[in-house]
Amino acid sequence: MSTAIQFDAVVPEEFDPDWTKPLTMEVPEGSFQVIRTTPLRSAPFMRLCVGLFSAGAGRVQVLGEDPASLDRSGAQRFRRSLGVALLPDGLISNLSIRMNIVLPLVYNGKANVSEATELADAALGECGLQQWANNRPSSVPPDVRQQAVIARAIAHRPRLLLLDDPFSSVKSRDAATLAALCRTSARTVVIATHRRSDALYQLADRTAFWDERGYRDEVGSS
Amino acid sequence: MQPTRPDEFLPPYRHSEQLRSTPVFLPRFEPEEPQRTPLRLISALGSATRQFGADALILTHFIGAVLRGGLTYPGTARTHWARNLLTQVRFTAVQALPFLGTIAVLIGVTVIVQANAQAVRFGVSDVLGRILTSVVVRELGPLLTAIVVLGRSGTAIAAELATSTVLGETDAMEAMGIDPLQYLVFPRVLGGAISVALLVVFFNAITLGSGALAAWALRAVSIGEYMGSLRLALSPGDLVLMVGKGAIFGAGIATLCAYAGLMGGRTPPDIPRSVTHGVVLSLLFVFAVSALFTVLAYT
Repeated sequence: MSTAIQFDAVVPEEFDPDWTKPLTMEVPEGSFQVIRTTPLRSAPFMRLCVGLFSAGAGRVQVLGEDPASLDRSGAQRFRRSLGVALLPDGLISNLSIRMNIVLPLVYNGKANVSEATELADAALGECGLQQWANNRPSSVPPDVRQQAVIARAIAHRPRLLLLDDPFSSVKSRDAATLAALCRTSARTVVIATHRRSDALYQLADRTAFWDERGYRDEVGSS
Repeated sequence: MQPTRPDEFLPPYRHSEQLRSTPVFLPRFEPEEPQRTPLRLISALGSATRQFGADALILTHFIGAVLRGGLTYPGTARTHWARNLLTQVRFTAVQALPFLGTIAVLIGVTVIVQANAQAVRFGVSDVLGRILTSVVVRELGPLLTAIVVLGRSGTAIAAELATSTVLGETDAMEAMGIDPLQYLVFPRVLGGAISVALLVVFFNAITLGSGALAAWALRAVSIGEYMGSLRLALSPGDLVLMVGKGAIFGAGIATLCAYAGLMGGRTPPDIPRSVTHGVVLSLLFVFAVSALFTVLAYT
C-alpha cells in the first residue's frame, strides 16, 4: 500500500514551543486516520501537509511530493488534489456559502460557474445545508459554518482530505454522518481532532495520539 | 496528573497569531538587529537601507506575481472574474460620483474666483480658461481624484485584504489552490486603473463646467470667451495625459493598498496599521508620479 502522508523527523521551520519532538508518522493511502492532538500542533501539521509551512528539519512527503519545495504553479496544481479545512476555517466573508464552494471549483479550472454551482448544491445537499446556501458565513451558526467547510472540501472529490478539528461545533449524531460522508468522498482522510470523539474513533482505520510525549498510534489500530 | 496549560483552552484562532506574518507567495527577509558599536548610526543607516532594498524587492515580486496572476486566469473563472471587476468599478467609480462631483464643483468655483481676482488686478481676464486648464486639468484634477479614490477605495482595499489575512481567508485560498493575487488583487488593480481614468475625466469636466458658470456669474468673461480660451488651451495631448495619469494612479493605489493589506500581519491590531501603511505608500506614489509626469511633459 502506498503512503499518502509521510513525515520523517519533521520539525517546522518556525519555532513552535508545542512541537517539542521531531514528528515521524505516516498515513497509508486509502485509510481513514484520526489524530487526537491540540490546535497548536494540528494547525502547523496541516500547513506543512499543504506546503504553507516548510520543514526546518526532516522530510515531508504528501502524495509523493514535498509540498514546500514545489514552485508556485506546481503547488497550486498539487493543492487542487486535496480537500482542506484549516483553522481558522477561512470561509470568504463576502460570499454566500454556495459561492464559497463554487469559487475553488471555477478558479481551479474544474468546472464553469453553472457546473460548479451544481456540484456545490450537491455537496450542500449531502451535508444538509440547502437552506443555508444563500447565507453569508457570518450569519450562520458555528455548526453550519463547519459543515460548509466540509462541503467545500469534499465538493471536488479530493484524493486526500485534510480536516483540522472539523466537528467541534457539530452535534455528535451529525458528526458521525459527516465523517461517514468524508470517508466516501475521498480516497484518504486525515482528521485532527482536539477532543475525544467515540463516533470518529469507531469509523477510523487508524487512531493516533500526539501530545507532549510524542506521536503514537493507538494500540490495536492497524 | 498532567499539568494543564492555560492556552490549551483558548480558541484555535489564537494560533493564527503565531503563524508567520509573511504570506506564502512572497520571499521573506529577516531584518537584522543593529549592532551596539560606536558606529551604530552608520550601522542603523545601513540596516535601514538594506530593509528598504528588501521591501522594494518584495514589492517588485508582488507586482510581478499580480501581473502573472492576471495573465493566467483559468477559462472557467472568466465570468466570476468579470463580475469581480465590475463590482470594483461600481464601488470605486460609480459610487464615488456624487462625492467627487461636489468636490469638482467647489474646486472649479474656488479656482475661478481666485484667478479672477488676480486677473482683474492685472487686466488679463481672458486667460481664465487657460489658468483653469493648466491648474485643474493637468495637475489638480488627477491629483485630487487620486486622493479621493485613495480615501474611499484604497483604504477599503487595504482593510478588506488585511481582514481576509487575519481571518485566515488567504491561507484557505492558498490551501485550496486558488491564487489570492489572482482572485483578490488583480481585479482591484485593473478596476482601480479603469475607475480613476474615468473619474479624472469626470472631475475635469465638472470643474471646467462649474468654472464656466462661476466666471459667468462673476461677470468676468462671457461663456463664449471662456469656452474659446479653453479650446485654445486644451490639446488632445491633455486628454491622453489625464487618462494615462488616472490609470497609473488607480493601478498604483490599488496595488500598494493591496500589498499593505496582505503584508500587514495576522492579528486584528495589524488591520489599522495596514490601512495607514497603504495610505502613506499610495500618497508618496501619487505625488511622486504627478511630479514626474509634470517634469517630463512640460520641460
